[in-house]
Amino acid sequence: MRMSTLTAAAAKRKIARILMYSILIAYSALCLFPFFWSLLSSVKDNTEILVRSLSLPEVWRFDNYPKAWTDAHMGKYFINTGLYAAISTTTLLIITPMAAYVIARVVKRNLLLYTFYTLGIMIPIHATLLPSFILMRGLGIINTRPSLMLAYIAFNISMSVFILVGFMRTIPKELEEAAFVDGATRTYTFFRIIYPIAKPGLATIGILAFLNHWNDFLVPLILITNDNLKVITQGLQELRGQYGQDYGLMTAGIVLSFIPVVILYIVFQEQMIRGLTAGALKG
Amino acid sequence: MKRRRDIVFSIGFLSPTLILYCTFVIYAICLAFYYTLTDWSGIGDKSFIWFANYKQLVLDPEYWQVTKNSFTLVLLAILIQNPVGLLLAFFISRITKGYRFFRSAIFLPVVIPAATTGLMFSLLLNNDLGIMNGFLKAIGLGFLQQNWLTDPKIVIYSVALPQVWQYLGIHFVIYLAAIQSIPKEVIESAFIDGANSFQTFWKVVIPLVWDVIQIGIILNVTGALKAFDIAWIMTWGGPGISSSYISILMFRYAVKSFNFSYGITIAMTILIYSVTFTVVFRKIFGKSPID
Repeated sequence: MRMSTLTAAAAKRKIARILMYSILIAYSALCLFPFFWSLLSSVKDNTEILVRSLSLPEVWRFDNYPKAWTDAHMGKYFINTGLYAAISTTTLLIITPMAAYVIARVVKRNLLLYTFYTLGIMIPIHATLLPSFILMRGLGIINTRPSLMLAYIAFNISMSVFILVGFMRTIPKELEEAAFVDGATRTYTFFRIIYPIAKPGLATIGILAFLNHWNDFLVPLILITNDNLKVITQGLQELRGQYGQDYGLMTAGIVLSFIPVVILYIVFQEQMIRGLTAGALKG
Repeated sequence: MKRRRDIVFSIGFLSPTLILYCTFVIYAICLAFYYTLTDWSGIGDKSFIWFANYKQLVLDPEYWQVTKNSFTLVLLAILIQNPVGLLLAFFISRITKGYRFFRSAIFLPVVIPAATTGLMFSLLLNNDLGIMNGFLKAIGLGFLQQNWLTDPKIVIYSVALPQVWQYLGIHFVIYLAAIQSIPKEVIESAFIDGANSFQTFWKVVIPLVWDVIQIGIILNVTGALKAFDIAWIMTWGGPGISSSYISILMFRYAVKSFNFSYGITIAMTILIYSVTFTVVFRKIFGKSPID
Protein backbone atom coordinates (compact mmCIF):
# COMPACT_ATOMS: atom_id res chain seq x y z
CA MET A 1 0.00 0.00 0.00
CA ARG A 2 2.64 2.48 1.13
CA MET A 3 5.00 1.69 -1.74
CA SER A 4 2.40 2.38 -4.40
CA THR A 5 1.37 5.79 -3.00
CA LEU A 6 5.02 6.78 -2.84
CA THR A 7 5.64 5.90 -6.47
CA ALA A 8 2.33 7.49 -7.52
CA ALA A 9 3.37 10.80 -5.99
CA ALA A 10 6.84 10.53 -7.50
CA ALA A 11 5.31 9.76 -10.90
CA LYS A 12 3.05 12.79 -10.66
CA ARG A 13 6.03 14.98 -9.83
CA LYS A 14 7.93 13.55 -12.77
CA ILE A 15 5.07 14.24 -15.15
CA ALA A 16 4.83 17.78 -13.80
CA ARG A 17 8.54 18.24 -14.38
CA ILE A 18 8.37 16.90 -17.93
CA LEU A 19 5.47 19.24 -18.61
CA MET A 20 7.38 22.24 -17.27
CA TYR A 21 10.47 21.44 -19.30
CA SER A 22 8.40 20.95 -22.46
CA ILE A 23 6.69 24.28 -22.11
CA LEU A 24 9.95 26.06 -21.35
CA ILE A 25 11.63 24.46 -24.34
CA ALA A 26 8.69 25.24 -26.62
CA TYR A 27 8.57 28.86 -25.54
CA SER A 28 12.34 29.30 -25.83
CA ALA A 29 12.12 27.92 -29.35
CA LEU A 30 9.42 30.47 -30.11
CA CYS A 31 11.71 33.23 -28.88
CA LEU A 32 14.76 32.05 -30.79
CA PHE A 33 13.14 31.03 -34.06
CA PRO A 34 12.88 34.47 -35.72
CA PHE A 35 16.57 35.09 -35.02
CA PHE A 36 17.73 31.82 -36.46
CA TRP A 37 15.44 32.06 -39.43
CA SER A 38 16.76 35.54 -40.22
CA LEU A 39 20.36 34.38 -39.93
CA LEU A 40 19.62 31.36 -42.08
CA SER A 41 17.78 33.29 -44.78
CA SER A 42 20.41 35.99 -44.95
CA VAL A 43 22.85 33.54 -46.55
CA LYS A 44 20.47 32.15 -49.11
CA ASP A 45 19.24 33.50 -52.40
CA ASN A 46 15.60 34.36 -52.89
CA THR A 47 14.45 31.14 -54.54
CA GLU A 48 15.94 29.08 -51.74
CA ILE A 49 14.21 31.21 -49.15
CA LEU A 50 10.91 30.72 -50.90
CA VAL A 51 11.25 27.02 -51.58
CA ARG A 52 13.46 25.62 -48.80
CA SER A 53 12.61 27.96 -45.95
CA LEU A 54 13.70 25.91 -43.01
CA SER A 55 16.70 24.02 -44.31
CA LEU A 56 20.35 24.88 -44.51
CA PRO A 57 21.19 26.57 -47.78
CA GLU A 58 22.29 24.43 -50.72
CA VAL A 59 24.35 27.34 -51.92
CA TRP A 60 25.77 29.64 -49.27
CA ARG A 61 25.56 33.21 -50.50
CA PHE A 62 27.31 35.86 -48.53
CA ASP A 63 26.75 38.68 -50.95
CA ASN A 64 23.54 39.79 -49.25
CA TYR A 65 25.65 41.47 -46.60
CA PRO A 66 27.88 43.63 -48.81
CA LYS A 67 24.78 44.47 -50.82
CA ALA A 68 22.91 45.51 -47.70
CA TRP A 69 25.90 47.45 -46.40
CA THR A 70 26.54 49.53 -49.53
CA ASP A 71 23.60 49.41 -51.94
CA ALA A 72 20.94 49.57 -49.29
CA HIS A 73 23.02 52.02 -47.21
CA MET A 74 22.77 49.85 -44.12
CA GLY A 75 26.47 50.36 -43.52
CA LYS A 76 26.05 54.12 -43.37
CA TYR A 77 23.09 53.76 -41.04
CA PHE A 78 24.92 51.25 -38.88
CA ILE A 79 27.85 53.57 -38.33
CA ASN A 80 25.58 56.55 -37.72
CA THR A 81 23.60 54.70 -35.10
CA GLY A 82 26.76 53.55 -33.36
CA LEU A 83 28.10 57.09 -33.33
CA TYR A 84 24.92 58.66 -32.00
CA ALA A 85 24.49 55.99 -29.35
CA ALA A 86 28.09 56.18 -28.17
CA ILE A 87 28.27 59.97 -27.98
CA SER A 88 24.84 60.42 -26.41
CA THR A 89 25.48 57.74 -23.83
CA THR A 90 28.89 59.10 -22.93
CA THR A 91 27.55 62.62 -22.48
CA LEU A 92 24.67 61.31 -20.43
CA LEU A 93 27.12 59.42 -18.21
CA ILE A 94 28.96 62.64 -17.45
CA ILE A 95 26.18 65.14 -16.91
CA THR A 96 23.58 63.05 -15.10
CA PRO A 97 25.82 61.89 -12.23
CA MET A 98 26.72 65.54 -11.76
CA ALA A 99 23.08 66.43 -11.28
CA ALA A 100 22.38 63.33 -9.22
CA TYR A 101 25.21 64.19 -6.85
CA VAL A 102 23.88 67.67 -6.28
CA ILE A 103 20.42 66.31 -5.56
CA ALA A 104 21.56 63.45 -3.37
CA ARG A 105 24.30 65.12 -1.39
CA VAL A 106 24.61 68.85 -1.80
CA VAL A 107 21.17 70.41 -1.67
CA LYS A 108 19.60 70.20 1.75
CA ARG A 109 15.93 70.47 0.86
CA ASN A 110 15.98 68.50 -2.35
CA LEU A 111 12.48 67.09 -2.67
CA LEU A 112 11.30 69.75 -5.07
CA LEU A 113 14.38 69.42 -7.26
CA TYR A 114 14.16 65.64 -7.22
CA THR A 115 10.48 65.60 -8.13
CA PHE A 116 11.09 68.13 -10.86
CA TYR A 117 13.77 66.02 -12.46
CA THR A 118 11.94 62.73 -12.23
CA LEU A 119 8.61 64.04 -13.54
CA GLY A 120 9.91 63.30 -17.02
CA ILE A 121 9.68 59.58 -16.43
CA MET A 122 5.91 59.69 -16.61
CA ILE A 123 5.87 61.75 -19.78
CA PRO A 124 5.73 59.68 -22.96
CA ILE A 125 8.02 61.08 -25.63
CA HIS A 126 5.22 61.59 -28.14
CA ALA A 127 4.18 64.67 -26.22
CA THR A 128 7.69 66.13 -26.13
CA LEU A 129 9.04 64.93 -29.45
CA LEU A 130 6.93 67.00 -31.82
CA PRO A 131 7.43 70.31 -30.01
CA SER A 132 11.15 69.52 -29.73
CA PHE A 133 11.18 69.21 -33.49
CA ILE A 134 9.68 72.68 -33.78
CA LEU A 135 12.16 74.08 -31.26
CA MET A 136 15.11 72.60 -33.09
CA ARG A 137 13.82 73.88 -36.38
CA GLY A 138 13.66 77.31 -34.80
CA LEU A 139 17.22 76.95 -33.54
CA GLY A 140 18.26 75.96 -37.02
CA ILE A 141 19.68 72.62 -36.02
CA ILE A 142 17.07 70.32 -37.48
CA ASN A 143 18.42 67.45 -39.57
CA THR A 144 21.85 67.62 -38.01
CA ARG A 145 23.70 65.07 -35.92
CA PRO A 146 23.60 67.23 -32.77
CA SER A 147 19.81 67.52 -32.95
CA LEU A 148 19.32 63.79 -32.62
CA MET A 149 21.90 63.43 -29.89
CA LEU A 150 20.54 66.34 -27.87
CA ALA A 151 17.09 64.80 -28.08
CA TYR A 152 18.38 61.40 -26.99
CA ILE A 153 20.20 62.90 -24.03
CA ALA A 154 17.32 65.14 -22.97
CA PHE A 155 14.76 62.33 -23.08
CA ASN A 156 16.92 60.05 -20.92
CA ILE A 157 17.80 62.54 -18.20
CA SER A 158 14.84 61.81 -15.91
CA MET A 159 15.36 58.06 -15.76
CA SER A 160 19.11 58.34 -15.34
CA VAL A 161 18.88 60.90 -12.56
CA PHE A 162 16.26 58.79 -10.82
CA ILE A 163 18.42 55.67 -10.84
CA LEU A 164 21.61 57.51 -9.90
CA VAL A 165 20.11 59.45 -7.00
CA GLY A 166 18.87 56.20 -5.54
CA PHE A 167 22.34 54.81 -5.94
CA MET A 168 24.22 57.78 -4.58
CA ARG A 169 22.11 57.89 -1.46
CA THR A 170 23.73 54.62 -0.51
CA ILE A 171 27.25 55.98 -0.68
CA PRO A 172 28.44 56.54 2.90
CA LYS A 173 28.75 60.19 3.84
CA GLU A 174 32.01 59.50 5.67
CA LEU A 175 33.87 59.25 2.38
CA GLU A 176 33.05 62.80 1.41
CA GLU A 177 33.58 64.10 4.91
CA ALA A 178 37.02 62.56 5.04
CA ALA A 179 37.84 64.27 1.76
CA PHE A 180 36.60 67.64 3.00
CA VAL A 181 38.61 67.33 6.15
CA ASP A 182 41.64 66.83 3.95
CA GLY A 183 40.75 70.07 2.20
CA ALA A 184 39.27 68.73 -1.03
CA THR A 185 36.78 70.81 -2.98
CA ARG A 186 33.43 69.41 -3.96
CA THR A 187 34.53 69.19 -7.56
CA TYR A 188 37.57 67.15 -6.67
CA THR A 189 35.55 64.95 -4.35
CA PHE A 190 33.05 64.32 -7.08
CA PHE A 191 35.42 63.33 -9.83
CA ARG A 192 37.94 61.43 -7.76
CA ILE A 193 35.80 59.77 -5.13
CA ILE A 194 32.09 59.70 -5.90
CA TYR A 195 32.30 59.06 -9.62
CA PRO A 196 34.44 55.90 -9.42
CA ILE A 197 32.26 54.46 -6.67
CA ALA A 198 29.15 55.07 -8.73
CA LYS A 199 30.38 52.70 -11.46
CA PRO A 200 27.64 50.05 -10.99
CA GLY A 201 24.92 52.69 -11.19
CA LEU A 202 26.66 54.19 -14.22
CA ALA A 203 26.81 50.79 -15.86
CA THR A 204 23.08 50.36 -15.42
CA ILE A 205 22.10 53.67 -16.95
CA GLY A 206 24.81 53.41 -19.58
CA ILE A 207 23.49 50.14 -20.89
CA LEU A 208 19.91 51.31 -20.70
CA ALA A 209 20.73 54.53 -22.55
CA PHE A 210 22.83 52.85 -25.23
CA LEU A 211 20.11 50.32 -25.88
CA ASN A 212 17.43 53.02 -26.05
CA HIS A 213 19.51 54.97 -28.53
CA TRP A 214 20.38 52.02 -30.75
CA ASN A 215 16.83 50.71 -30.81
CA ASP A 216 14.99 53.98 -31.25
CA PHE A 217 12.90 54.59 -34.34
CA LEU A 218 10.33 57.32 -33.78
CA VAL A 219 12.77 60.04 -32.69
CA PRO A 220 15.05 59.79 -35.73
CA LEU A 221 12.01 59.29 -37.94
CA ILE A 222 10.79 62.74 -36.98
CA LEU A 223 14.09 64.59 -36.58
CA ILE A 224 16.20 63.23 -39.42
CA THR A 225 15.29 63.15 -43.09
CA ASN A 226 18.75 63.53 -44.58
CA ASP A 227 19.71 60.11 -45.85
CA ASN A 228 23.34 60.50 -44.80
CA LEU A 229 22.37 60.95 -41.18
CA LYS A 230 19.74 58.24 -40.82
CA VAL A 231 19.88 55.41 -38.31
CA ILE A 232 19.65 51.69 -38.73
CA THR A 233 16.01 51.37 -37.72
CA GLN A 234 15.13 53.83 -40.45
CA GLY A 235 17.18 51.62 -42.73
CA LEU A 236 14.89 48.74 -41.90
CA GLN A 237 11.95 50.83 -43.03
CA GLU A 238 13.75 51.54 -46.30
CA LEU A 239 14.33 47.84 -46.81
CA ARG A 240 10.65 47.17 -46.40
CA GLY A 241 9.74 49.94 -48.77
CA GLN A 242 12.38 49.66 -51.47
CA TYR A 243 13.57 46.07 -51.40
CA GLY A 244 10.36 44.41 -50.30
CA GLN A 245 10.86 41.37 -52.54
CA ASP A 246 14.54 40.77 -51.88
CA TYR A 247 14.18 38.58 -48.84
CA GLY A 248 17.84 37.69 -48.58
CA LEU A 249 18.75 41.35 -48.53
CA MET A 250 16.09 42.14 -45.96
CA THR A 251 17.18 39.41 -43.59
CA ALA A 252 20.79 40.54 -43.92
CA GLY A 253 19.63 44.01 -42.90
CA ILE A 254 17.70 42.52 -39.98
CA VAL A 255 20.80 40.70 -38.79
CA LEU A 256 22.89 43.86 -39.06
CA SER A 257 20.36 45.69 -36.92
CA PHE A 258 20.33 43.17 -34.09
CA ILE A 259 23.86 41.76 -34.06
CA PRO A 260 25.47 44.53 -31.97
CA VAL A 261 22.84 44.51 -29.24
CA VAL A 262 22.74 40.72 -29.18
CA ILE A 263 26.52 40.61 -28.74
CA LEU A 264 26.24 43.15 -25.93
CA TYR A 265 23.51 40.97 -24.45
CA ILE A 266 25.69 37.88 -24.52
CA VAL A 267 28.52 39.70 -22.77
CA PHE A 268 26.56 41.89 -20.35
CA GLN A 269 23.45 39.83 -19.84
CA GLU A 270 23.14 40.42 -16.10
CA GLN A 271 23.51 44.19 -16.30
CA MET A 272 21.18 44.39 -19.27
CA ILE A 273 18.42 42.48 -17.57
CA ARG A 274 18.84 44.57 -14.44
CA GLY A 275 19.01 47.85 -16.37
CA LEU A 276 16.01 47.17 -18.56
CA THR A 277 13.83 46.04 -15.68
CA ALA A 278 14.91 49.04 -13.61
CA GLY A 279 13.98 51.22 -16.56
CA ALA A 280 10.66 49.51 -17.02
CA LEU A 281 9.77 49.41 -13.34
CA LYS A 282 9.74 53.14 -12.99
CA GLY A 283 7.74 53.73 -16.17
CA MET B 1 32.16 80.87 2.37
CA LYS B 2 31.48 77.18 1.91
CA ARG B 3 27.80 77.93 1.48
CA ARG B 4 28.51 80.26 -1.42
CA ARG B 5 30.91 77.78 -3.00
CA ASP B 6 28.28 75.10 -2.66
CA ILE B 7 25.76 77.24 -4.48
CA VAL B 8 28.16 77.91 -7.32
CA PHE B 9 29.00 74.22 -7.46
CA SER B 10 25.36 73.20 -7.48
CA ILE B 11 24.44 75.59 -10.24
CA GLY B 12 27.41 74.50 -12.28
CA PHE B 13 26.77 70.81 -11.88
CA LEU B 14 23.06 71.07 -12.47
CA SER B 15 23.15 73.28 -15.52
CA PRO B 16 23.89 70.88 -18.38
CA THR B 17 21.03 68.55 -17.49
CA LEU B 18 18.80 71.39 -16.37
CA ILE B 19 19.14 73.27 -19.64
CA LEU B 20 18.47 70.22 -21.81
CA TYR B 21 15.69 68.92 -19.62
CA CYS B 22 13.88 72.22 -19.24
CA THR B 23 14.08 72.93 -22.96
CA PHE B 24 13.23 69.64 -24.57
CA VAL B 25 10.97 68.17 -21.93
CA ILE B 26 9.35 70.80 -19.71
CA TYR B 27 9.14 73.66 -22.16
CA ALA B 28 8.27 71.18 -24.92
CA ILE B 29 5.23 69.95 -23.00
CA CYS B 30 4.05 73.50 -22.42
CA LEU B 31 4.51 74.25 -26.11
CA ALA B 32 2.65 71.06 -26.93
CA PHE B 33 -0.31 72.16 -24.89
CA TYR B 34 -0.22 75.58 -26.48
CA TYR B 35 -0.21 74.05 -29.98
CA THR B 36 -3.28 71.97 -29.18
CA LEU B 37 -5.16 75.25 -28.81
CA THR B 38 -4.24 76.39 -32.30
CA ASP B 39 -4.95 75.46 -35.85
CA TRP B 40 -1.56 74.99 -37.43
CA SER B 41 -0.11 72.99 -40.26
CA GLY B 42 3.40 73.12 -38.87
CA ILE B 43 4.61 75.90 -41.10
CA GLY B 44 3.37 79.41 -41.62
CA ASP B 45 0.73 81.09 -39.53
CA LYS B 46 -1.25 79.63 -36.73
CA SER B 47 -4.65 80.73 -35.49
CA PHE B 48 -5.91 80.41 -31.98
CA ILE B 49 -8.97 78.21 -31.77
CA TRP B 50 -9.27 77.35 -28.06
CA PHE B 51 -10.46 73.78 -27.54
CA ALA B 52 -11.83 73.12 -31.02
CA ASN B 53 -9.19 70.44 -31.64
CA TYR B 54 -10.32 68.50 -28.61
CA LYS B 55 -13.93 68.81 -29.66
CA GLN B 56 -13.04 67.54 -33.14
CA LEU B 57 -11.15 64.65 -31.59
CA VAL B 58 -14.00 63.54 -29.40
CA LEU B 59 -16.30 63.47 -32.42
CA ASP B 60 -13.75 61.78 -34.69
CA PRO B 61 -14.64 58.14 -35.45
CA GLU B 62 -11.10 57.46 -36.70
CA TYR B 63 -9.73 58.51 -33.32
CA TRP B 64 -11.98 56.11 -31.48
CA GLN B 65 -11.13 53.34 -33.91
CA VAL B 66 -7.42 53.70 -33.18
CA THR B 67 -8.12 54.00 -29.48
CA LYS B 68 -9.93 50.70 -29.74
CA ASN B 69 -6.86 49.28 -31.51
CA SER B 70 -4.56 50.50 -28.76
CA PHE B 71 -6.94 49.05 -26.22
CA THR B 72 -6.85 45.70 -28.03
CA LEU B 73 -3.08 45.73 -27.66
CA VAL B 74 -3.37 46.55 -23.96
CA LEU B 75 -5.78 43.70 -23.41
CA LEU B 76 -3.71 41.17 -25.35
CA ALA B 77 -0.61 42.27 -23.47
CA ILE B 78 -2.21 42.02 -20.03
CA LEU B 79 -3.89 38.70 -20.72
CA ILE B 80 -0.88 37.02 -22.31
CA GLN B 81 2.32 38.55 -20.94
CA ASN B 82 1.36 38.30 -17.28
CA PRO B 83 0.00 34.75 -16.99
CA VAL B 84 2.59 33.29 -19.38
CA GLY B 85 5.43 35.29 -17.82
CA LEU B 86 4.39 34.23 -14.34
CA LEU B 87 3.97 30.62 -15.35
CA LEU B 88 7.36 30.47 -17.04
CA ALA B 89 8.97 32.11 -14.03
CA PHE B 90 7.33 29.59 -11.75
CA PHE B 91 8.46 26.67 -13.91
CA ILE B 92 12.04 27.94 -14.04
CA SER B 93 12.07 28.21 -10.29
CA ARG B 94 11.06 24.57 -9.99
CA ILE B 95 13.48 22.94 -12.42
CA THR B 96 17.10 22.12 -11.83
CA LYS B 97 18.79 22.27 -15.24
CA GLY B 98 18.85 24.88 -17.98
CA TYR B 99 18.07 27.96 -15.90
CA ARG B 100 20.59 30.15 -17.69
CA PHE B 101 19.64 28.95 -21.14
CA PHE B 102 15.90 29.43 -20.70
CA ARG B 103 16.26 32.81 -19.08
CA SER B 104 18.61 34.05 -21.82
CA ALA B 105 16.32 32.82 -24.56
CA ILE B 106 13.13 34.22 -23.06
CA PHE B 107 14.61 37.66 -22.42
CA LEU B 108 16.48 37.93 -25.72
CA PRO B 109 13.67 39.51 -27.79
CA VAL B 110 13.49 42.42 -25.32
CA VAL B 111 16.87 43.87 -26.25
CA ILE B 112 16.49 44.21 -30.00
CA PRO B 113 14.95 47.20 -31.78
CA ALA B 114 11.19 47.04 -32.09
CA ALA B 115 11.65 47.97 -35.73
CA THR B 116 13.65 44.76 -36.18
CA THR B 117 10.82 42.74 -34.66
CA GLY B 118 8.46 44.48 -37.05
CA LEU B 119 10.53 43.57 -40.09
CA MET B 120 11.13 39.99 -38.93
CA PHE B 121 7.45 39.35 -38.42
CA SER B 122 6.44 41.06 -41.63
CA LEU B 123 8.55 38.38 -43.32
CA LEU B 124 7.32 35.52 -41.15
CA LEU B 125 3.69 36.47 -41.76
CA ASN B 126 4.27 37.16 -45.45
CA ASN B 127 2.09 34.86 -47.49
CA ASP B 128 4.53 34.62 -50.37
CA LEU B 129 7.06 33.11 -48.00
CA GLY B 130 4.33 31.20 -46.25
CA ILE B 131 6.16 30.53 -43.00
CA MET B 132 3.23 31.16 -40.67
CA ASN B 133 0.60 29.59 -42.87
CA GLY B 134 2.88 26.66 -43.60
CA PHE B 135 3.45 26.12 -39.91
CA LEU B 136 -0.27 26.14 -39.18
CA LYS B 137 -0.87 23.63 -41.95
CA ALA B 138 1.93 21.41 -40.63
CA ILE B 139 0.41 21.19 -37.17
CA GLY B 140 -3.04 20.51 -38.54
CA LEU B 141 -4.48 23.98 -38.01
CA GLY B 142 -4.58 24.78 -41.71
CA PHE B 143 -8.05 26.27 -41.41
CA LEU B 144 -6.54 29.12 -39.37
CA GLN B 145 -4.52 30.36 -42.32
CA GLN B 146 -5.05 34.05 -43.07
CA ASN B 147 -3.86 36.99 -45.04
CA TRP B 148 -2.01 38.20 -42.00
CA LEU B 149 -0.83 41.52 -43.29
CA THR B 150 -3.67 42.51 -45.58
CA ASP B 151 -6.95 41.39 -44.00
CA PRO B 152 -8.38 44.46 -42.22
CA LYS B 153 -10.25 42.30 -39.73
CA ILE B 154 -7.20 40.56 -38.27
CA VAL B 155 -4.31 42.83 -39.10
CA ILE B 156 -4.51 44.46 -35.66
CA TYR B 157 -3.72 41.07 -34.15
CA SER B 158 -0.89 40.53 -36.63
CA VAL B 159 0.83 43.66 -35.35
CA ALA B 160 -0.13 43.32 -31.70
CA LEU B 161 1.06 39.76 -31.13
CA PRO B 162 4.68 40.38 -32.19
CA GLN B 163 4.71 43.20 -29.64
CA VAL B 164 3.45 40.79 -26.99
CA TRP B 165 6.12 38.31 -28.09
CA GLN B 166 8.91 40.86 -27.83
CA TYR B 167 8.29 42.20 -24.35
CA LEU B 168 6.98 39.16 -22.52
CA GLY B 169 10.53 38.63 -21.28
CA ILE B 170 10.32 41.74 -19.10
CA HIS B 171 7.31 40.40 -17.26
CA PHE B 172 9.04 37.07 -17.01
CA VAL B 173 12.10 38.49 -15.25
CA ILE B 174 10.19 40.64 -12.80
CA TYR B 175 8.01 37.69 -11.82
CA LEU B 176 11.15 35.57 -11.54
CA ALA B 177 12.72 38.11 -9.21
CA ALA B 178 9.55 38.16 -7.14
CA ILE B 179 9.36 34.39 -6.91
CA GLN B 180 13.03 34.13 -6.04
CA SER B 181 12.50 36.54 -3.19
CA ILE B 182 9.88 34.31 -1.59
CA PRO B 183 11.66 32.63 1.32
CA LYS B 184 12.41 29.02 0.56
CA GLU B 185 10.71 27.91 3.77
CA VAL B 186 7.31 29.09 2.59
CA ILE B 187 7.42 26.97 -0.55
CA GLU B 188 9.01 23.98 1.17
CA SER B 189 6.42 23.95 3.94
CA ALA B 190 3.67 23.90 1.32
CA PHE B 191 5.25 20.82 -0.22
CA ILE B 192 5.63 19.14 3.14
CA ASP B 193 1.94 19.72 3.70
CA GLY B 194 1.36 17.60 0.62
CA ALA B 195 0.68 20.22 -2.03
CA ASN B 196 1.95 19.50 -5.53
CA SER B 197 3.48 22.07 -7.84
CA PHE B 198 0.24 23.39 -9.22
CA GLN B 199 -1.45 23.75 -5.86
CA THR B 200 1.59 25.59 -4.54
CA PHE B 201 1.37 27.91 -7.47
CA TRP B 202 -2.21 28.92 -6.83
CA LYS B 203 -2.33 29.09 -3.07
CA VAL B 204 1.13 30.34 -2.26
CA VAL B 205 2.83 32.07 -5.14
CA ILE B 206 0.01 34.16 -6.59
CA PRO B 207 -0.97 36.04 -3.44
CA LEU B 208 2.68 36.88 -2.79
CA VAL B 209 3.28 38.24 -6.26
CA TRP B 210 0.06 40.23 -6.49
CA ASP B 211 2.06 43.42 -6.07
CA VAL B 212 4.22 42.49 -9.02
CA ILE B 213 1.17 41.72 -11.13
CA GLN B 214 0.11 45.31 -10.57
CA ILE B 215 3.46 46.52 -11.83
CA GLY B 216 3.02 44.25 -14.83
CA ILE B 217 -0.33 45.79 -15.65
CA ILE B 218 1.01 49.34 -15.40
CA LEU B 219 3.85 48.35 -17.72
CA ASN B 220 1.35 46.89 -20.17
CA VAL B 221 -0.77 50.01 -20.31
CA THR B 222 2.01 52.57 -20.52
CA GLY B 223 3.95 50.41 -22.97
CA ALA B 224 0.99 49.83 -25.25
CA LEU B 225 0.22 53.54 -25.38
CA LYS B 226 3.73 54.16 -26.69
CA ALA B 227 3.64 51.39 -29.29
CA PHE B 228 4.52 52.54 -32.79
CA ASP B 229 7.49 50.87 -34.44
CA ILE B 230 6.20 47.34 -35.01
CA ALA B 231 2.85 48.36 -36.49
CA TRP B 232 4.43 51.07 -38.63
CA ILE B 233 7.03 48.78 -40.16
CA MET B 234 4.68 45.85 -40.67
CA THR B 235 1.69 47.57 -42.22
CA TRP B 236 2.13 51.35 -41.93
CA GLY B 237 -0.98 51.15 -39.77
CA GLY B 238 -3.04 49.94 -42.67
CA PRO B 239 -5.06 48.92 -44.50
CA GLY B 240 -6.64 52.27 -43.75
CA ILE B 241 -6.32 52.57 -39.99
CA SER B 242 -7.18 48.99 -39.11
CA SER B 243 -3.78 48.39 -37.57
CA SER B 244 -3.05 51.92 -36.38
CA TYR B 245 -2.52 52.79 -32.76
CA ILE B 246 -3.14 56.25 -31.31
CA SER B 247 0.53 57.08 -31.86
CA ILE B 248 0.30 56.19 -35.52
CA LEU B 249 -2.70 58.42 -36.07
CA MET B 250 -0.76 61.18 -34.32
CA PHE B 251 2.17 60.66 -36.69
CA ARG B 252 -0.08 60.61 -39.74
CA TYR B 253 -1.71 63.92 -38.87
CA ALA B 254 1.29 65.78 -37.49
CA VAL B 255 3.89 64.73 -40.03
CA LYS B 256 2.19 63.29 -43.07
CA SER B 257 -0.91 65.43 -43.43
CA PHE B 258 0.53 68.71 -42.20
CA ASN B 259 -2.20 69.00 -39.62
CA PHE B 260 0.33 69.53 -36.88
CA SER B 261 -1.98 70.93 -34.20
CA TYR B 262 -4.48 68.08 -34.50
CA GLY B 263 -1.65 65.57 -34.37
CA ILE B 264 -0.32 67.16 -31.20
CA THR B 265 -3.79 67.03 -29.69
CA ILE B 266 -3.78 63.29 -30.30
CA ALA B 267 -0.35 63.09 -28.66
CA MET B 268 -1.76 64.97 -25.68
CA THR B 269 -4.37 62.29 -25.18
CA ILE B 270 -1.60 59.70 -24.95
CA LEU B 271 -0.04 61.75 -22.18
CA ILE B 272 -3.38 62.18 -20.42
CA TYR B 273 -4.23 58.48 -20.56
CA SER B 274 -0.77 57.45 -19.38
CA VAL B 275 -0.62 59.77 -16.40
CA THR B 276 -4.25 59.30 -15.39
CA PHE B 277 -4.03 55.54 -15.53
CA THR B 278 -0.83 55.36 -13.49
CA VAL B 279 -2.14 57.72 -10.83
CA VAL B 280 -5.60 56.15 -10.55
CA PHE B 281 -4.31 52.58 -10.61
CA ARG B 282 -1.81 53.30 -7.87
CA LYS B 283 -4.49 55.01 -5.79
CA ILE B 284 -6.87 52.07 -6.08
CA PHE B 285 -4.38 49.31 -5.51
CA GLY B 286 -1.90 51.01 -3.25
CA LYS B 287 1.80 51.52 -3.66
CA SER B 288 3.60 48.69 -5.38
CA PRO B 289 6.99 47.71 -4.03
CA ILE B 290 9.93 48.82 -6.11
CA ASP B 291 12.97 46.54 -6.11
